[in-house]
Amino acid sequence: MFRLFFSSIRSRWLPTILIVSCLVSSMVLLLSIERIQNGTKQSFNYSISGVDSIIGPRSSSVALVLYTIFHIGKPTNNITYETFEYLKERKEIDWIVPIALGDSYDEFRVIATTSDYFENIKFGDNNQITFDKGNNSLGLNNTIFGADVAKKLNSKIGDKINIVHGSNADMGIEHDDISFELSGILGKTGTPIDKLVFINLQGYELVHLGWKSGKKIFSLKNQDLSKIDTDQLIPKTITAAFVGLKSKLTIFNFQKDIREYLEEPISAVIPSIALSELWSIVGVIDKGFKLLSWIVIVISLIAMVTLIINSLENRKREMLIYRANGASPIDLSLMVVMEALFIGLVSIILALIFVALISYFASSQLSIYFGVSTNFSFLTVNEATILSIILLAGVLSSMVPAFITYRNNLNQTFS
Amino acid sequence: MLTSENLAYKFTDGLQIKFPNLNAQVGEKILITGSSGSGKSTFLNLIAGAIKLQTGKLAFDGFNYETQKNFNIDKFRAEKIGYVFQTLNLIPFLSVFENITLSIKFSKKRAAKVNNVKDEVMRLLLSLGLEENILEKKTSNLSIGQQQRVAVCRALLGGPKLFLADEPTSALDDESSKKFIKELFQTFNKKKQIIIIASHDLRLINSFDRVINFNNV
Repeated sequence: MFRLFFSSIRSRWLPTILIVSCLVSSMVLLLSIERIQNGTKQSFNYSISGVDSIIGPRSSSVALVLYTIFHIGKPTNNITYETFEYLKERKEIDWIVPIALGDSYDEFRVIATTSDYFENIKFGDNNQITFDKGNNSLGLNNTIFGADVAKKLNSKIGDKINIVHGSNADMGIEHDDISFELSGILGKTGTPIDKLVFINLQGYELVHLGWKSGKKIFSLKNQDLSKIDTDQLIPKTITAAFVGLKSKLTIFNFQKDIREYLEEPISAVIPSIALSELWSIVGVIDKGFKLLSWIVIVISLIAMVTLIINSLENRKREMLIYRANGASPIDLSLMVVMEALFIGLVSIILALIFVALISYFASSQLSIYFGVSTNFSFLTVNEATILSIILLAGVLSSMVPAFITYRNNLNQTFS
Repeated sequence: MLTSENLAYKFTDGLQIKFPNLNAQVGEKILITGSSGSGKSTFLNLIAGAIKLQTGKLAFDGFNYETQKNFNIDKFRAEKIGYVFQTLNLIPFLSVFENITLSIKFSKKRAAKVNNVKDEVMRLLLSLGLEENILEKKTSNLSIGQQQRVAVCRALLGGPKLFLADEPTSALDDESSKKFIKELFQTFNKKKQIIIIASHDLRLINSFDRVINFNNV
C-alpha cells in the first residue's frame, strides 16, 4: 500500500513540493529562532562565572555587562581609582579585579587589568583560565593573548606589539613609543576572553602618559622609563571592576550600598540578572518571530489539507479502482492520513537538515561577532516536542480529508 | 454458486428497481442486457458489494451479503471478485505491471494464490493478446483496447471465483469487441469461475451460456 501511496503522491509532485517547502520554511524559522536564542543564552551565560558583581559607572546594567564581559559596545564613562580603592577595602569583598578598556590591537580589544584576572575570573562551569604557553605574569611591559588572538596572529612568546589608541585599530593612532612583549597565551575558553589582548593596568597608564583627551601631546620614545615616578602609573580611572564576595547572601545589601555611594554615581550589577534583562528585551522580538512562525505553520497545514481535499476530486477514479480491487473506505482514508504523515515527516527531516546548517553558520557568526562558542545538538527535547506537535497537528488535520474519503467511498458505485 | 433472491434497490430519488432472481453455477458465462437505466450496473454493484444490499438475499460461495458488514464485503471482494469497468480502468501514474498487480495488493489470500507474480502476469498478458514489452509502460501510452485487456488481466490475477464486467466492450469497435470477448473466454477457468458481463451490446449474445434481459423484468 505504501508503494501505491508513494506513486500517487509522486504523480502530484509539484503541489506536494510546494506544501513541503511551506512547512519546511516555517519549521526552519521556528526552530532556528528557538535554537539561536537558546544557544546564544547558553553561550553568553557560559562566558562568565564566579563574578558576583560588576561595578561600573551608573548606566544601563545590560550595557555594562555587554561591554565589560562581551566587549560589545563602548563604555560611556569610567569610575575613579579612588572609588576602586574604597571598594577594595570593603569587608564583604573577597576579591576585586579592575579593568580598563578603550584600546585595541589588530581586530582585537585590549583589556588592561592585573594578574588577578586570571586567578579569579572563571568561565563555564566555574572553569579556571589556563595558559597554553607562558604564564600569568602580567608585568608592566607584558601582554597576554587570548587563544583566538594568538592563533590568528600566529604569535609566539617574546613577540612585541604596539597597541592602538581607541577601539578601532584601523582608525586609531598607534602607541608606538611603548611596546608590549608577549608573555603568555591563554588556553581556548570558547568565550570572548579568547579574543582579548591583556596588558598590565599600569602599562596601560604608561602608554597614555603623553596623551590628553584622546590626543598624543608628547612622545615617550626618548625618555628613560625607569625614571618615571611609579605614582604616575597609578590609574586615575578604570572602566569597571569585577567583584567576588565572601558570601553570596550579602549581594543585595552590597548592591544597595554601592548605589548609595555618595562620592560618584556608580552601580553594582549582577551579571546573571543583567543577562536576564537582556533576554527579556530580545524575547519580545523572539516572541513576535515565533508567533509569526506558528502562523505560517498553521497556514501551511491548512494548505496541506486543502491540497489533499482538492486532489480527492481528481483522484475519484483512482479511489474507485482501489475500491473495486478490494480496498475498503478505511484503507483509502488511511492512505490520505499516510499522505499527511509523509508530507509532515519529509518536511521535518528537511527542516532538521536546514536547521543544522543554519546552526553551524550561526555558531561561526556568534563566534566571530561575540567570541562565544555555541554547541548545537542535532535535536533537543524541546525541538522534538515542537516537531511532534506539528506532525500530530498535520495528521489530525488530515482526518478531515480522510473522513471525506471514507464517506465518499462508503457507497461509491462502480461504473 | 451465486444466488440472488428478490433483490431490489431504491435510489435516493425514490426510484426502485427490482431484479430477477439469479442462480449461477460455476463455469457459467452470463450476459446481462438491457437498456440504459434498467439496472444492469446496479446489479453488478450489488454483487460486487459496492453498494449496500437493501432488500432481498444475495449469496456467493457461501458468503451471505445481507449478514455481513461492509469491511467483510470489501475483504470478500478483494479475495474472490474481479471487476472491470466500462472505461478508465487503469491508474495513469502506475505502470501496466503495477496496475495489474493492484488486485493482489488488498488481499493476502488472493496474493497467496499467485506463486510467481511476474510469470502469472505474463501468462495473462499473452493469453489476452498483449505483448510483454508493455509491462513497464505507463498506461496512458496504451490504446483503449489494450487498456481494457490490462484491466481484464488485473481482474483475473489471483484466480477470482467471480468475474464481473460492466460494458467492457462499449469503447471497442466490432472487430475488437469480438476479439476481446474471445480472448477473455480463453482465460476463463470453467471449473472454478463464473463470468457475468453487463452490456447492451447484442452482438455478444451468442458468446454466452445464458442471457438475462433486464428490459423484460
